[in-house]
Amino acid sequence: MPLDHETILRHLFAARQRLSAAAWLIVRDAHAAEDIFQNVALKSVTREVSFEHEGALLSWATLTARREAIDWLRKRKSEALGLEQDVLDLLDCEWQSKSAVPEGPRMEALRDCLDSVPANSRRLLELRYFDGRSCQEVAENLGAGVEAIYQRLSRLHRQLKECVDQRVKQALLSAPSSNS
Amino acid sequence: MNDDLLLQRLLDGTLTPTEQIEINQRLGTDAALREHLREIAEQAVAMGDFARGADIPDPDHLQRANKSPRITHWLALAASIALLAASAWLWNSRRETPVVTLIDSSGSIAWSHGGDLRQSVADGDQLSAGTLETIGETATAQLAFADGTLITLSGESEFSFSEDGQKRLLLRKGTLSAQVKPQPKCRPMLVRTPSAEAEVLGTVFNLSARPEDTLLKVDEGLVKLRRLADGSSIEVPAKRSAVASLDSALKLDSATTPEPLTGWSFDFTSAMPPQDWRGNSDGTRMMASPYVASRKSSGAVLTHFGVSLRTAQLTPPLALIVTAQSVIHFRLRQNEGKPLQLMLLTSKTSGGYGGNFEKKIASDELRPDANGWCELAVPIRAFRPLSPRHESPVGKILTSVLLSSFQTDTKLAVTHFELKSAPQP
Repeated sequence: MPLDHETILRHLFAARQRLSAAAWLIVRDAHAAEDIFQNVALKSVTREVSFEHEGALLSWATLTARREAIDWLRKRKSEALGLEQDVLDLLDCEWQSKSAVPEGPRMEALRDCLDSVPANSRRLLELRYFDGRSCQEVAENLGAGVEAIYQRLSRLHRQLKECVDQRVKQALLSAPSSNS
Repeated sequence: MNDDLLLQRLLDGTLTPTEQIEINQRLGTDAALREHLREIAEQAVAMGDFARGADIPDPDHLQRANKSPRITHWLALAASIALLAASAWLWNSRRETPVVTLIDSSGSIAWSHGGDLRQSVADGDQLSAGTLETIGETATAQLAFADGTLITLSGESEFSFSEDGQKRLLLRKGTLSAQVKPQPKCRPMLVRTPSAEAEVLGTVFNLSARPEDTLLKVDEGLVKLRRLADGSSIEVPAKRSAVASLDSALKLDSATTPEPLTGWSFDFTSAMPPQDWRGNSDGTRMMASPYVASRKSSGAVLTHFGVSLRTAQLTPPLALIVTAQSVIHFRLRQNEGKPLQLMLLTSKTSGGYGGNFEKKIASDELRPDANGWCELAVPIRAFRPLSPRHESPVGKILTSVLLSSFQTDTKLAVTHFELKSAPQP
């Protein structure tokens, strides 16, 4: 029995972060990644496709998001993708293998962690990922050297990961006591 | 340069060609580095949402979100999708994308999808995701996916299929042989049976779903077989076979597939036949049982009474090869002197459907002894093909032998079967 449209959309929205992130790795533009996810969601209910189960839907959505991202890149930029096909396959594969784990709590933790980032660091992330500036442009904007920007970004990503892991762990530990 | 900086420069598009090769090689082998890259991508998307001030709806509560005062473009998207979905359903529900093409078939085949049931499908038909049944002992169906992967079903098989970037097959019962083109590494073809799941990247194999286990025979490449009873798995390479039982106390292991034989016999007086062979055994003989020989356009079925030896489903797997000198021998008895039909079902040595072949045996060809027992010997040249596409059984693998009476239950009983090689006269 094919999935109905409401179920399709629920599954897609549940995997939104992963699908958008997979597209972002190709286009490196948060707005474009968002548009690509929306296109995939629209196609899933308006194209001649049907899905027997969640796995089939997410496989199709991952492939479609990648195709859309590559098309977007071809239309707007001439630079090489940077990531080889085999690597993209592995990344998609690993993202799909995580599809059984709800991404909601992790994303909520990530938003909280971003909220707690100092203002100057948030400005750096915003310039890089929301405005889509290159590290050279970010460096010029902030009056720093490009190598320093690479290092700050690298450090920020690790700090955010640690923050998310810690919050998810705390949420898990506090779950039983909240029931008592 | 450390990995973090390499990743940042990769994302910035400022790596030299040599560095680009290096980072791709590292990413290909280092799972932790890939995890870090995925993390960066997820953080970048989250940062985009954060800066945009987006209110991402809880996927489980899309409808409830419509009542929230914080209307964002997400809600507009959800609303427009819901509208599109409702209108799209009208024209979309019956126009699913074809997944396979039926390229060769014989006997009765039924295809169903959702509530639709198409009794008759013809060679060349394109079928969307659904369930295909080969009805009756002699029915076969060969299906081709768009990438050239071939699946052949034979006997009484029930098989569901879908493909959305990954081929997912379900063999509820029966036998399939598959010639699988290379599949993407992270989206292998999956074939599930009631007792096992096979993961295939590109290979040639045979799979039989039997009542209590699954038999896998790999001809080329490698298949990963997982037993559903306990989740244990093994890799089965070419020329080896394995049985995944529902009984997890049995060891899951593979064994060398025996070389093809040109001679083989089965004595029903001293051995119990496998339970998935057609017929009823009392330990001394195999009595014919009814089966659907064909289905008329009205839906009515034509019943024959037969005894089959599904040699493709024996453990260890047996490959009987037909030669120009082959002779099929039966010791049989009937209560009435009626004509019989002897059918050979074959596959190609390279896998795939090899054709069905028939010999009609007139009642006067049967010469019973004083107790009614007949010795029947049919040389291979006496068989005629049921399809011009498969001219001769010679050189093919015998997957099943079926001896039947036409429509009438003549109490056909068989005590002995033999495939032997005899010099030509």
